[in-house]
Amino acid sequence: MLLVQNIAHTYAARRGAGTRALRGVSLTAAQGDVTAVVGSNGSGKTTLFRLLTGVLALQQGSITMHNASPRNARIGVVFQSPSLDPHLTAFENIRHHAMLYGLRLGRDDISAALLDRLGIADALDTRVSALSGGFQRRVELAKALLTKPELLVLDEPFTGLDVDARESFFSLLREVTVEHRLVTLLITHVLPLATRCDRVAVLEQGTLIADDAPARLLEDFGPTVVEITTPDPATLAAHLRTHGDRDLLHLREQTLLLRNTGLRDVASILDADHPLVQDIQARRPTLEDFFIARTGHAIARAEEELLAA
Amino acid sequence: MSTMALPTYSLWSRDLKHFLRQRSRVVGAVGQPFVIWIFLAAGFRGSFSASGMDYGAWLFPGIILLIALFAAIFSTISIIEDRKSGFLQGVITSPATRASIIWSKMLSGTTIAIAQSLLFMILLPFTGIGLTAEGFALSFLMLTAASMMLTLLGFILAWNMSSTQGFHAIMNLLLIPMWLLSGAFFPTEGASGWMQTVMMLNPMYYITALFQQLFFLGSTITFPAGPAPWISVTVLAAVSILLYLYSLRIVRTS
Repeated sequence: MLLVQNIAHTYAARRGAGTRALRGVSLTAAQGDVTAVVGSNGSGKTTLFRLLTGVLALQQGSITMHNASPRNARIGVVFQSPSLDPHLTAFENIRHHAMLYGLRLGRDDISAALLDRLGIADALDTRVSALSGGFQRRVELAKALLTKPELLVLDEPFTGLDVDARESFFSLLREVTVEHRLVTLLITHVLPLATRCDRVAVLEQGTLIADDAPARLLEDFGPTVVEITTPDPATLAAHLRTHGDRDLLHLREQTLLLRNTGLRDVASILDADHPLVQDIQARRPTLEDFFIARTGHAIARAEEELLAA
Repeated sequence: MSTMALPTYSLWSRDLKHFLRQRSRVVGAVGQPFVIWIFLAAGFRGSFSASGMDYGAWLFPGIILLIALFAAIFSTISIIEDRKSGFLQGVITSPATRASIIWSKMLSGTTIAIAQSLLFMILLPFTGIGLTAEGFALSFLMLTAASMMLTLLGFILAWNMSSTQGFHAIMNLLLIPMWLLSGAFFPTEGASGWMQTVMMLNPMYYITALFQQLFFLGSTITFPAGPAPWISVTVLAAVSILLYLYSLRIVRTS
């Protein structure tokens, strides 16, 4: 089990006080689970990643893996930007990476089952520069897994991947996490995928504001929510409140969200022809609803994420 | 051991693969000093006189040092590329010691420098220099140590740089004067007084002087005496140790 206790980090400034990136963050991640760490830009995700991977030294608190320093554990790391050498083949990248971990790998030492599972068996002798982004991600994962890690940390691994490649990579990640009994920490902006993780930790301005199973985080929203698009959310909200104590959330600029309710319930006080209603739909609550409810803003997406979407 | 030797080997062999897979780099590395040597040797042939030697022969060890200087230092440019491509972050987060990054670069830069210098030696029969086995062994031992020192210098500059263009600019500003003022291009004795003082502040001056003396060791050519060999060795060792310690400091603290 990964145990992060009360860690804090401040980046020093040339003048004046530094920037506090993390403030007393504690979280746990269990073996065989994929734990997502979500948060908007500047929330402290990258700092947490750097502390976990040893790029930054701990200033406060502790990080232990199976009750020992993570330095003594094998850590597999997948970075947001590729860390592959484009001039080498996929196999050469894997072999060189293994040597950094003190392992000498021959072709026969690489499990054929793992290569098949990752879908890169036929790409081993291809130069990385000739592989697609999705394949490069798979080679990165192979690199990380072949050092037999106990802890796998991934920083925005879906960046630059199309929807299908994301889905495929995420499924693969879940499978290998269970199969190899890994403690997997997934740092991501992609909330629909985070929702499907075993646990979600939400960071906001360096503070952990939630850490639980996704279903539990969404308990307060009820089984369904109603989303209404309106040009005048304030007036519509006031109108709805005249018909009882409504669990209302101003979701986005022109969107209201009603928690713990269904279309039938809302239709009794507001029909679809109402002049303030542009669109109305019932749906399941999402992690993004939770995020906005807790932080007051939508999760900021990296430019690549928007392009990929 | 597994966090030092194997990672060092891994990074060293990767650098060599890079070098060999970039044909233009290999051609340029061998072709450029050849062209410089031919043109300088032919151009100064009638106007140069030192110890009664032909300028082409006199310049030959200096060109070998030029090859080593450029090869060793420019091999470290890969640090900037590795940082940009994200490869370096994978190395830093691995259990490999930070010293292995320095050693791998030092060894790959030196290997490339020595390999290029040996290739240039193909031209030796055309110079009239009667190189002895002893002179060859000792001068190349010296060249190996000098290449290690020069790679360390390149390493420090590359580690703190964010662009390859900036690295090229700084290196050319530093390398060309280092070579010109090393005594490889013209004899020190003929230079003006202030120039001689400046040359003596250049570590390359001591390296060049010893390399030239060793290169012609046992041959019929008597090379002009420079600083005593023990002074050159001391300067080389001291500068190398200082550069290594500083390299270690920057990789551990950044």
